[in-house]
Amino acid sequence: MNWVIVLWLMIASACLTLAFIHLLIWFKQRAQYAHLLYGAFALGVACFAAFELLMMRAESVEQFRLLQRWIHVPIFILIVSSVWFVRIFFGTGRLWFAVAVIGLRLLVLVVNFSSATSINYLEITALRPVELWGGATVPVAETVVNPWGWVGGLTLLLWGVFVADATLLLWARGGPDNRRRAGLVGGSLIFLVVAGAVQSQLMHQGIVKLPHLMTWLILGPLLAMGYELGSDVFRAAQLARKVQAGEAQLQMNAERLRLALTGARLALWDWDIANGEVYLSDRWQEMLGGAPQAAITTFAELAGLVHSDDFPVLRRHLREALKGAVPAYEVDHRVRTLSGDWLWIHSRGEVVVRDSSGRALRMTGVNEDITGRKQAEDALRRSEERLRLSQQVARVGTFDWDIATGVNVWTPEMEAVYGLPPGGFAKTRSAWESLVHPDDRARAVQKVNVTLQTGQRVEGEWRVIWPDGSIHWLSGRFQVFKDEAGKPVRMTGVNIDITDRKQAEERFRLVVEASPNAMIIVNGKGEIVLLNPQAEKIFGYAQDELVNCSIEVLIPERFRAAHRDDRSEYFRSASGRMMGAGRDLYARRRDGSEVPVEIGLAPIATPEGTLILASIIDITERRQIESEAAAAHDELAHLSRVAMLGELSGSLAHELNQPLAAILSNAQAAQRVLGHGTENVAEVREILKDIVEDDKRAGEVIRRLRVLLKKEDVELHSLDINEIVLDVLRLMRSDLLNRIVTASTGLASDLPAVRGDRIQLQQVLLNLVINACDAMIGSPARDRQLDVRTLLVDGHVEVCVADHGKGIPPEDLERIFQPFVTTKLHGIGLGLAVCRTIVNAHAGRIWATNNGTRGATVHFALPVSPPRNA
Amino acid sequence: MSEPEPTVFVVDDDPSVLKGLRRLLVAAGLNVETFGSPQEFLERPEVTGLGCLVLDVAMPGLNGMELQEALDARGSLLPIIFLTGHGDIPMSVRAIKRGAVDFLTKPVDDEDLLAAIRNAFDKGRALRQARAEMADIERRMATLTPREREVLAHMVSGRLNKQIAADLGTVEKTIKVHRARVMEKMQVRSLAELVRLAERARIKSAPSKS
Repeated sequence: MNWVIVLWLMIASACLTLAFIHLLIWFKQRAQYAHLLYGAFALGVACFAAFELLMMRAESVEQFRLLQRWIHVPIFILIVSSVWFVRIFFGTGRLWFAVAVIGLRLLVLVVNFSSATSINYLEITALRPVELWGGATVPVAETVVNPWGWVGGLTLLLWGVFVADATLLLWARGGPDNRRRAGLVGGSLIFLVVAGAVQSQLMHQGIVKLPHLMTWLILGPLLAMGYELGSDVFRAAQLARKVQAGEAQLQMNAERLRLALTGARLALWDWDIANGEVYLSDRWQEMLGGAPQAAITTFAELAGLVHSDDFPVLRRHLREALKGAVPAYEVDHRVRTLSGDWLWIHSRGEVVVRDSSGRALRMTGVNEDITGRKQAEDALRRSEERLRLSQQVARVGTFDWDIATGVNVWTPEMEAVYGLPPGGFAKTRSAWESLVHPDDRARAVQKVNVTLQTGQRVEGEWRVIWPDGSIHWLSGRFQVFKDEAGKPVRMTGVNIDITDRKQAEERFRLVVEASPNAMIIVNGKGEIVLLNPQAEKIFGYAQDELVNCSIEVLIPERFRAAHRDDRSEYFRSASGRMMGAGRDLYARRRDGSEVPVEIGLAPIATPEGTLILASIIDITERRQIESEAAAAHDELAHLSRVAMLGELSGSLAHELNQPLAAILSNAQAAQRVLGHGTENVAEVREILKDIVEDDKRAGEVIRRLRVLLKKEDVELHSLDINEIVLDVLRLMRSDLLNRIVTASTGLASDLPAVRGDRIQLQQVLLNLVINACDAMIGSPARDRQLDVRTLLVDGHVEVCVADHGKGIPPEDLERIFQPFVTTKLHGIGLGLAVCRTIVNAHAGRIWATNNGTRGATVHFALPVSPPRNA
Repeated sequence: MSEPEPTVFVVDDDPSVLKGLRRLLVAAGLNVETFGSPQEFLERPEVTGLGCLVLDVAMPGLNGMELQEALDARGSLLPIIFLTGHGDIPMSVRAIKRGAVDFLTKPVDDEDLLAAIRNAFDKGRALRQARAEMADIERRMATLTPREREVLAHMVSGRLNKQIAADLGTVEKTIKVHRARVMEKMQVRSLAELVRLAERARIKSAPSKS
C-alpha cells in the first residue's frame, strides 16, 4: 500500500460523493442540467481514478491490457459531460463544435474497441515496475504503439479548442462573474486538455516511460467547476429567498391591484404575444357576462368579440403600440358580451416586455366598461343634435350679446333667420339694427332698450329684410343678465321666423274681413282682438273703438253678468257651437238699441292662447218674417175657425135659442101670473130666478162662441185636456143631435196638464168632431157613433176621435193633413192642415188610423207640460 | 055635453125650457103634463082624453120626429105642435105632412103657442068627433050583408036600380028590396044622406062596368 493508492482511493471516493450530491440536486431540479453534467463529470473522474488504481495494481499484462482498453469509457464520459457543461454553464460554445468533439470522440471509442488492445497500443508486451517519489512502485507497460493513436490526440485537441473558444466568448461578454468563471473553469479545463494531451502522447508514444497517472490533472477542472456551481447554488438560494420575499410583495401588490381594479371596475388583461395567449382578470369575464376564467384564453378569441366597426381602429392603435411608435394606446370600442349585447369599453394598454431586438413580447392593459358613459354621451349628443335640428327646422336663432365688448355672437340658425350665410353677421348692434325693416326698427330697438333698462324679459315682433329683398316676420324674446352692481352685462335671446304664421294670420284676417257675417275675435280675458266691417256695421262702432274693449260692451246690460260667467265657462272647454241654444240673443248697438242676433262660436288655438271667433248674424229681418208668418198662421187658424163655426151656426142657434125660449116662457108666465091679480110673489120670484139662470146660460153660449171667433194672440196655459173635450162636445151638442150622432167619451182620469192655447186646441177638437160627423153622414142613424178618448202615453196626452164612417183610404192617411186635400164634397181641405199646424206648434203630433172594424180615428198627442215649479 | 078639460103634454130634453113652458101653460089655465124625453112619454098610458103634444125636435135618443112616427103607428089622435130651436123648411114640411098641427120655433111667444094649442084642441076635438061618426057608420055598415054592401057601393056611385040589377045579374025588384034594407040599416032617409055617409067612411063607389 503506497500513498498513490491511498490518494487515488480518496480522490475516487470524494468524486463519487460529489457526483452523488449533484445528481441528487439535479434530480430535485430537473431543469438544472448543469448539476447533471457536473455529476456525470465527477462520476467520470471517480471511474477514471478507479481504473488507474486498478492498473497500478495490475498483476498481469492481460489485466493491464483490459483496463487500458476500458478506461476510454470514463474518458468519453468526461469529455462529453465537460463539453455540454461548458455550453450550458457558460451559455456560449458553438453547438456544431460541441457535436463535432463528441462525435469524433465516439469514433475514437469505436476505434478503441475495434483495436486489439486499445487506440493507444497495438500490443502490451510486459509490465515493468517503476518506483515513484516516496517509494511507491507502480507498473509501467512495455507497448507497441497504435498508429491510430493520433486520432485520440486530435479529439483532445479539438476539445481544448472548443473549451477555449467558449471561454473566450464568455470572457468577451465581460463582467467579473463571467471573467472569473471563464478563468477558473475554462482555464483549468484547457490546462487539463493540454497537460493530458502532452502526458498521454509522451507516455503512449513511449518517449517517456510514465505510469498511467492522470487523475490529478482532472482535479483542477473538477474543483473549479464545483466551485462555480456551488457558488451558483448559494446564489440561487439567496435569490430564492429574495424571490420569495419579492413574491409575497408581488402577491400583495397583485391583490392591491386586483382590489384597485375591482374598485375602479377595471378589467386587466395580459397578452403573451409570442404564443398568443391572453390572461383576462375576473372583472373582464364578468363584463363579458361569463363565469370567471371562462372561455377566452387567446388573443384571437378576444379579438373576435370586438365590434367589426371598431376593429380597424383598435388594430391600428395596437400596431402602433406594438411597434413602439407610442408608449401606450387608448381606444374606445365595443365588444360583444356572451349574451350578445354590445358593451362599450375603454381599452388602454402598453407593451411591458420586449426582446433585445425590440420586438414586443408582452402587452398588458386595462379595460373599463364605459357603456353607461357612452349612452349618456350619446343621449347628450342626440339631444344637442335634436335641439340644433329643431332650431334649424323651426328656424330659431339664438344670440348672445356681450354688452361690455359690444360683440354679439349669433348662431348659424340666427343668421339664417336673418337670411345671412353662416358667419355673415357683423356681430354689432348697429349691424342688427340695419337688418330690421325700417318701419319696425324703432319699435324693435325700443324693445331692446326696455330690456336693458328694466331687465325684464321682453318679447316683440318685427320684420327683417333679407339680402335677397324678401321680407320676413320675426318674433324675438330676450333677457338681460346683470352684474352685482345691477349693470347689464349680457343679453341673450332667440329670434323665430314667424312669417308663415303671420301670413296665415293675414289670410285669416282677410277671410274674416271678407265674411258676409259679422265676426269678432275675443281673447281669454274677454277683450276684443279683431272685428270685421260687418261687425262694425251691425254694432255701429268703428274697429279701433272696440279693439281691446271688453266684449260685454256689446251685450245688453241685463245679460252682462251672466255672459261673463258663460264666457269663462266656455273658455274652459271651448268647442264650436251655437251660443245660447234655445234662447233669444240680443246684442247692444252703440246707440243702446238692441238687435236680435244668432251667434256661432269657434275656438282658435294660437300661440297667445285660445281665442274665440264669434260669428254674429243680425236676425232682425228673420224675426220679422217669422212673426209675419206666425201672424199669417194665426189668421189662417182664425179664418178656419170662423168657417168651421159657420158650419155649426145652425146648432149654435139652437143652443142659444134653448135658454131664450125658457126665458121667454118664464117671463110670459110671470106676466100671466101677475095679470091674474093674485099676489103670488113667491112664484114670480122663482120665475125670475130661473130667468136669470137661463140668461146666464145664453150668455155662456155666446161667450164660448166669441172665444172661438176672437182673434186673440196665442196664450199658453196649463190645460186639462178632458175639460176641452167636454167643452167641445157641449158646443157640439145640438149639432150632434141634428146629425143624429151619438157621442161617447172615455176620458182618462188624473191626466197631467198639457201646455197650450185653449182656443186652438178646442179648434182642433171641433174640427176632428165635425169631420167625424161628416164621415158618418151616409151611415144609418144607429151607426152614427162618435167616440172621444183621452189617455196618457209615453209622457204625452193623446186624444183619439173615432167615427163609424167609411174610413180613410190607406194612401190618404198622410195626405189628408196637407192643405187643400179633402175627401169631402164641399171641403176646401184646410181643416186638418190647420190642425196639424196647431198641434206641431204645441210640439205635438197628429195622425190618422183606420179602425179595425169600421171608420177611422184621428189622434193627436201633446207633451205633458213640466210641473209648474220646475 | 060637458067634455073633460083638455091636457097639454110637453116633451123637451131641456129641463129649463120644460119648466118655463109648464109655468106658462099653467098660468094660461091649461092642464099640463111634462116629459124630459120621448121615451118617458111613450111609457105613459095612452092618452084617451082631449089634448095636444108640444114636442121638441132635437133630443138625444128618440127625437121629436121619431116620436111622431111612433105615435102615428099607434093610431094616436093626439095633435102635435113641434117646437124647435133651429128648424129648417124641409123639416117643417115633413112634420106638417105627417099631420103636425103647427111647427113653432123657439123662443116662442105665448100667444102663438096658446093659439096653436087651442087650434090643436079644436082639431083634436074634430078628429075625435069624426072618429066617433066613423065608428057609428062602420057599426051600421057591419050590419049589411055582402050583397047589400055591393048594392050600397052601386048606390053611392049614383046608379039606377036597373043598371045595378044588370050589373049584379039580378032583377030590379030584388035591387029595390036591397036598397030599402041598406037605407034602413044605415039609418038614412035619403040617397044624399047615404052618399055623404059613404064619403065619410070612404066607401068606394063601385066602378061602372059599362
